[in-house]
Amino acid sequence: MMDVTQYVDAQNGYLHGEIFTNPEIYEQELQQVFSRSWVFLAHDSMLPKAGDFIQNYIGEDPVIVARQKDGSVAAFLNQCRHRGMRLARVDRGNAKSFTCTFHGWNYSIDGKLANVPHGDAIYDPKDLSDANCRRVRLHNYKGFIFGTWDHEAPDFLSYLGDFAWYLDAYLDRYEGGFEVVAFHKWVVPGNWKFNAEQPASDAYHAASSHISAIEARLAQAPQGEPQTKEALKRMEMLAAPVGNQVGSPYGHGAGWFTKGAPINHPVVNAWDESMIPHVSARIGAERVNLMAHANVFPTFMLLNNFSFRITLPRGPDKMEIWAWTMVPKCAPDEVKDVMRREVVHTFSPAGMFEQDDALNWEEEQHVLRGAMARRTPLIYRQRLGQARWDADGLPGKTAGHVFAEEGARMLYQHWLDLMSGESWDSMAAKKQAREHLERQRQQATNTQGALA
Amino acid sequence: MSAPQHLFQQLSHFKVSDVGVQTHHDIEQFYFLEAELLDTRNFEEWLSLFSQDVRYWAPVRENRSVRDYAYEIAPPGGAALFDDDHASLTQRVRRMLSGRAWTEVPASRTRHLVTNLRAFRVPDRPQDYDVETSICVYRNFGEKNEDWVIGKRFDRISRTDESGTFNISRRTLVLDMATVLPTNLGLFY
Repeated sequence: MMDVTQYVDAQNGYLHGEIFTNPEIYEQELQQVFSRSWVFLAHDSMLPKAGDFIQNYIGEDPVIVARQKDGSVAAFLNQCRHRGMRLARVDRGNAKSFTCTFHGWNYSIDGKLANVPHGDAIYDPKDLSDANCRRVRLHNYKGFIFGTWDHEAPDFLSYLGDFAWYLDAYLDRYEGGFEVVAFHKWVVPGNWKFNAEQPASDAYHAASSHISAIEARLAQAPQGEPQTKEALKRMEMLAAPVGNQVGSPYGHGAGWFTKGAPINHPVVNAWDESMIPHVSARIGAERVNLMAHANVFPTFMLLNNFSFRITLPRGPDKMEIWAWTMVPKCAPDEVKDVMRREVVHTFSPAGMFEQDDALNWEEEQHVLRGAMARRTPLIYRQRLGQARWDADGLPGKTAGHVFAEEGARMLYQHWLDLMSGESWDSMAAKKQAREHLERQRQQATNTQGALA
Repeated sequence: MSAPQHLFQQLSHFKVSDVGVQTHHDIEQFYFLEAELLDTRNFEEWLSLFSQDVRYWAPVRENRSVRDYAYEIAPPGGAALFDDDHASLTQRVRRMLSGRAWTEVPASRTRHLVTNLRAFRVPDRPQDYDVETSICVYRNFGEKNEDWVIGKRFDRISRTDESGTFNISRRTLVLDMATVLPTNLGLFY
C-alpha cells in the first residue's frame, strides 16, 4: 500500500495536488475509501413498489438497489457470478428477477441465484452453492438509504456522530420528508474530492465564482420587488457573511449562513417563511436557519436548494455527478414546481451556478498535470486553530465563521486515516486522541482567558 | 386511455414537409440566421426571436427497458436540462454578456449546424408552423477543449410579418444523451 501521508498535512492545512492526480492513489481510494465508507444509494421515494429498482455505484462498482416484496430494500453488486457481466443495464425499472443476457443466469430481486440454464445437466449443486450476488450492508436513515461493503465499518449513526444534528436540521425540516421529482447526471473532468470538499467547506468561492449568475438574477428584478430584496440579501450575505461551519472526525462537513439559507426565488422564500412555525416546532428555533450546504463523507451532498447529490469517482481526473431534486412532500404543487425549475436554472449541467464550479475543477485538474504544480503546497489554512468543540451550543467542532477550511481539513484527515488502511477501531482511537488533545488545549485557552 | 408513447415514436412525425417551397425556404433562412446570431455572440438579438410566452424545454433522457421506452424522455414537469421561460432565458443571456461568466471567459468558438428541417402547417392557425430540425453544436474553448451536442428540436414558430420573419413560441430540445457528457450545457441550442 502506498504511503500518502507525505502529501497531506491536515493539521497544518497543506495539501499536495498529487492526491488529485496519481492513478495509484486513485486505485487505493477505490479500495480504502469507497469500499469501506457509507455511501448514499437511493431514497425511499425512488422505489415505491415491490420490484422497483435503480442502478447506482459504490465507487466504480455498479450496484442494484431494489425494493423487496416485504417492503425492505436490498442492494447487491450488479455483476453475474458466472463471467461478471452486468445484470441490469437500464437506469431504473421494475423487475420480477434479473437475468444475465450473456448465458441466462437468473437472480431474484434480492440478488440470490435462482436459476441457471441446463443447470442440472452441467453443474454439481455444490458448484453453485455460493453463487449469489455480493450483498451491500444497508442503513435506511429517514428514507435515505446508505450502503457499505464493509461489515467492520461503524454503524451508520456512529459514523455520522455529532454531524447527525446538522443533517437532521435539513432531513427533519418538513413533515413527511422529501420526494424525488427530477434528476441530472453529468461528467466533469476533475477529481471527485474537488466536489466533495465544496459543500463540506467552501462557501467562500460563491462571491467570485458565481458573480455573473448572482448579478444576472439581481439585475433582472425591478427595484423593490421581493426577488430584488432577496438577491440583495444574498449579496450582503457574501459581502458580510454571518454563519458557521462544522467539521466531523469522520470527514463530514457543512456550512451555513445564520441569517437564513440564500434561497432567492420569491415563491420558495415566501413558502419557507410561512413554514417557520412548523419547522421550529419540528427541529427547534435554533436550527430553523441551519439548512446547510453539507457533505456526508465521502460524497453525499446536500445543497440548500433541494438538490441532493452524489459524486462518483471515474479515474483520478474525472467524476460523475448524480443529482436528485428532492422537494418537501408537504409543499404545494406549485411551490414544488418552482423548486424543481430553480435547480434547473442554478445547479444542474445547464445551471448558471453549476457551470462555474465545473470550470474551476476542470482547470485545477489541468494545472495539476504539471510536476511542479503537483508538489507546490496548496493552502488550506483558513481559520486554522480557531475551531472549537461544543461551542455556542453547537455540537461537534465548529469554526465560528462560514468562511473556513475546518471542514476540508477534517475531510482530508479522515481520508488520510482511511488511506492508511488501518482498522476502524484503530482509526477511532486516533480520532478520539486528537479530539481529546484539542479539547484540552481549548480548556487551557479558556482558563488563560478567564485568568487574564 | 392509450399507452404513453415516446416522443420520437408518435406517428405525427412520420411525414414530409407540407408548407411549400417558398415557406420552407423562409423557415430555413430563419434558422440559419438564428444560428449565425448565436455563433457571433449576438445573444440579445437571438433572444428577440422568442415570444414573451416562450417555453424553452429540454427533457432529461435515461436508459429504460423496451417495455418502459415511452419514459426514455422525461415528461413535462419532470427532469429537465432546460425548463425556461422568457425571464429565465433573459437571465442566462445577461449572464453570458456580463464578462464575468467564467465559462465564457475567454469566449468559446461555436458552430450551430441546423439540418433535417421539416415544417408542418398547424390546423386553424395559418401563421403558425411546427418545425423539426436536427442540430449539431460544436464548441471549441480554451487552449484545446472541444465538445459537441447533438439533438433534435421541435419548435412552434409564427410568421410575424410578410417579409418572412418569425418568432419562436415553443422549443422542445431533445439532446441525444442520457448522462450529460460535455462539462456543461452553457450555450444556447
